[in-house]
Amino acid sequence: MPGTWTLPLAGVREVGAETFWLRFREPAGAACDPGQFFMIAPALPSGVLFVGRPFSIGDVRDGELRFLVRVLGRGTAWLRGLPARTPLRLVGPLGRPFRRTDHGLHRMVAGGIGLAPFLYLARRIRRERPGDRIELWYGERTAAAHAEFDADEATLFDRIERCTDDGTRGERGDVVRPAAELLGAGGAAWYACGPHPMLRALAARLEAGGVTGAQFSLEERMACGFGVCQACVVPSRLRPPAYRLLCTDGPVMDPRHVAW
Amino acid sequence: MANPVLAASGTFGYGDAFTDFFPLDALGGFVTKTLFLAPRDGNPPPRIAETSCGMLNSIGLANIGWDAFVAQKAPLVRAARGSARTIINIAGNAPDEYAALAARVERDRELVGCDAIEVNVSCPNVKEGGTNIGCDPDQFRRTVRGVRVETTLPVFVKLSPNVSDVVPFAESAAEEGADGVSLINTLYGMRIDLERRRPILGTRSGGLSGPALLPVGIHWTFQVRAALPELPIMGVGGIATWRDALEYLLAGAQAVQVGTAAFVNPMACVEIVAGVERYCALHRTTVQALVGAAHREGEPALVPVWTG
Repeated sequence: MPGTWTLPLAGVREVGAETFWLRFREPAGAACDPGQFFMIAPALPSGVLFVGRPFSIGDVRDGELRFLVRVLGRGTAWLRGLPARTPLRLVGPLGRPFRRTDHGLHRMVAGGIGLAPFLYLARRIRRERPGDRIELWYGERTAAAHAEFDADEATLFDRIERCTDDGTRGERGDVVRPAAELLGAGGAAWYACGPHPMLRALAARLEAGGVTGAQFSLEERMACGFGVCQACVVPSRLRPPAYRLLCTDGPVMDPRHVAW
Repeated sequence: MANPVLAASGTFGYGDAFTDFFPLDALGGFVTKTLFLAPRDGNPPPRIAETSCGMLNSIGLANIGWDAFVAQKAPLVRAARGSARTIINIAGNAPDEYAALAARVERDRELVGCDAIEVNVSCPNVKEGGTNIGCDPDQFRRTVRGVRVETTLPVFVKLSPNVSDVVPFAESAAEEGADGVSLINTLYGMRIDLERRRPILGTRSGGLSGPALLPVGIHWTFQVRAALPELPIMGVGGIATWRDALEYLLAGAQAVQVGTAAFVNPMACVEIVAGVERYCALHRTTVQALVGAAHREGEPALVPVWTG
């Protein structure tokens, strides 16, 4: 069940160009599942942000609740510049988490800051199903944008394949193609998060390959995060209704239910 | 009412959306999301755009329709509401649709457990060229009259500020038998994306809400109270703190509605209830005594008390 917390920022830690961990002490009583998100807003009027911003739960470790954030606009730029101890209002955990699956192989496909939900997802799978294999395909535009993992984070994955649009790190090209080449290599639980065109392309490849049960984490503009403002609509392939609310029906959705 | 703070229409779902955060009876009452007779999908996204002190929305009055509301939402809300008053916000695509829905609300009133109707007149009339009913004096009158004929429930009309003078609309509402007015609905607004060089919202323009709206709402509350001192007013528009709520009361509103602020802080309504109570206790006064006090120039000014 979601709650409202005013938490002092524990700190910001850069892990790549324009990309950082936003860290808080883990609030007591917040049962965070991978794929869920929090709305983060200034606790006091900031003059910069008015509505909150939705962020996937990035990780829960060492007594901290962390969000992996990239500077993409006014709000995220403001967050990066905040000094430690700035009070922020967090509402959450919100939304439907990733479903647990019976597959022993988990393939996560991350485009850019779409990496955000996967460290925590991998951490929980490791804890709950230690024998499972976890693979990450992670694409960025260029090498400098790649988020670096610390020693602990690197152990969460059995295989990490990085690629870049410009070929400066890993294979050249988008992340969909190398990931989708594995379609014939047996069953796996597929997860994806990233820009809309990437998700659309991957959804088409998975569907053509007969994959069912894939789980995509989507993003939309939101004002509230809990189903009231009705801003975060996703066109639905299963009509009616014409739209699903990303905040309460998602943010994790079956790609076959989305009218891409 | 237990207290003068209500949750505003469109920011509280059908009364079921905030139950994770506080019990319904912490509020004086709530206004449902605007209901139509038939369900509506709403507008294509993007549906919101942030502004420097508020936000634009073009949700498009997405709603589940009256029958689904009665079947799916009303039983839960009726069971959970306690002392909170339920106000049903209604709209239609033309004046006759408002009347038809008002008749259904009247018929189902016991089933739903509703205490009043709020009429959202800020709707395009799809049958008459799409003019905004709330900005057209003739259609406005026909709409209020039609609703009044169909129900004995108290009727509040939520007025649009997108007119040169709101007072004549308040007068028309009173003349057509409305029991009160809600002041104000959103202001028209637009923002443009610098990279795409197109309006941000899918519908280009939308309604501005949030703290930016506060002085506009205070202005019209004061003006309507001055012109029609007997007409009950619910103040709405830009209330984010208990101070904002008190300004509306002093301008002449008997109650206030809190909307957009609850998107950012789900506890906003509850914090405002507590703040108003604290202010009244410190100043040894009551909400009733504060209503319209800003108009009473003959009264001696209070000794200021620092209320934090």
